[in-house]
Amino acid sequence: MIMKTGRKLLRRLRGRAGESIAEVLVALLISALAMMLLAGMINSSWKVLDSSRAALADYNAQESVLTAQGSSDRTGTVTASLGGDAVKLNADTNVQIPVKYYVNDAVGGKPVVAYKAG
Amino acid sequence: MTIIGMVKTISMGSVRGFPAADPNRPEDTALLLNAVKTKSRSTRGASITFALLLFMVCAVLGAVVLTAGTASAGRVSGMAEADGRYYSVSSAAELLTQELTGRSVTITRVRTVATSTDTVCVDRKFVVNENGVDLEQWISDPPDVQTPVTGDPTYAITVREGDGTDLALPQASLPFLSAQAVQLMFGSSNLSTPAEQEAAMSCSLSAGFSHAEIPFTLTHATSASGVTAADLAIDGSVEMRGDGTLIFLLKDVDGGFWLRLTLTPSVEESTKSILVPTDSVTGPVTSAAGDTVTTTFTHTDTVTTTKTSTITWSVGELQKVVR
Repeated sequence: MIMKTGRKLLRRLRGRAGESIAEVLVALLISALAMMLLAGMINSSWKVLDSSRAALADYNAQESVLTAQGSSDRTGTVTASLGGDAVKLNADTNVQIPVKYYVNDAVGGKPVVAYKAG
Repeated sequence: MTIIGMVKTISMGSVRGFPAADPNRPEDTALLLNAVKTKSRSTRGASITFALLLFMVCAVLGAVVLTAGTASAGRVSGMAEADGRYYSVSSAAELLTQELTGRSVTITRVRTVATSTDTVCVDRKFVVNENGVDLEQWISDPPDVQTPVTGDPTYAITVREGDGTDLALPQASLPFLSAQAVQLMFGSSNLSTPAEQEAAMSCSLSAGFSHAEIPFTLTHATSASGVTAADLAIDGSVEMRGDGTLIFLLKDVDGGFWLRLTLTPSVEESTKSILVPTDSVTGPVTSAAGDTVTTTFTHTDTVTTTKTSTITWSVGELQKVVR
């Protein structure tokens, strides 16, 4: 069946017969669709790029704050364990070391978090 | 054949069945016009084929453009994930650096031993000279100097961080830094018997006891917004070489980013010995003139040997480890 159709198509393509208005119209329709498809994809891609550029700018801005590690009201504690047992890192500190967190959540999903003792 | 194709073909001066045309020659111009006429009358069409080809080209181009755009957007979220891992592990390394470097641990070992020599004098006699002053005379002359006797040594071992107070052994109760220094100095010895304490006197931080990798973790406790404690946990290990170099291997919970933090030691060791002589007397030191008594004079030399070893760690290397 496929072979038959293929042969028919080849014969049609090799033939010297002209094409009907309908065929030309279909061809024009297909071409128009192709152009619209391409334009749509370029447009979508441009929008995605635009939004990612904005997200990157926001991300970089928050990253600068995170790197500077100024003041922060987000606090917690860190506990070190050696061989499964909690341990003081030095004689002057507690087992639970107080820390401050710096968060970059510009991109969404899992945020970027840095911390330091204090 | 599309119109563009026709024009191209003509401009190239080559039409199937016709020789190459020279536009300067009238006969060639006629030839070209003839070719255009032939093409224009041709009934051989391929509009749908070309339309489909155009569709395919547009679809492929569009897909490429869209893929590039999406990949660029995905790169930002991928970058955030990588940065998250990096900051989690590098913050841990920074915290360890802050808590462990520049702090000295001093281990002091004191050994005290006393050697006593008794000198026994008998027939002590007091006489009165011509000026009426008591003089003592030893009848047993020379006095009996006995063999020196050395007592059992006593030991004192203390650990101190910086200028802080002495920390109590055993090793398990010590903070991390002191425990590492004690491990380096004495190994697994618990220093409870005199033999272990005597052996400890010849130990050194410069040629110490290493230990293999021990699991080392950092866990967080927080309710701060945007911070998930589990994401920040560090799962790693620490090992110590015989020269005191501490090597931390730190990785995030997913094992996507690894850092090796190396702390190098600086060791100072000194030995000091002090001899303190003391004298004591057993028996009467005074008596009436003419009495005969027995008195023992004891001379004691107390030797105190103090060995002080101080170790201070500082950051040697911080390396990214590729696994």
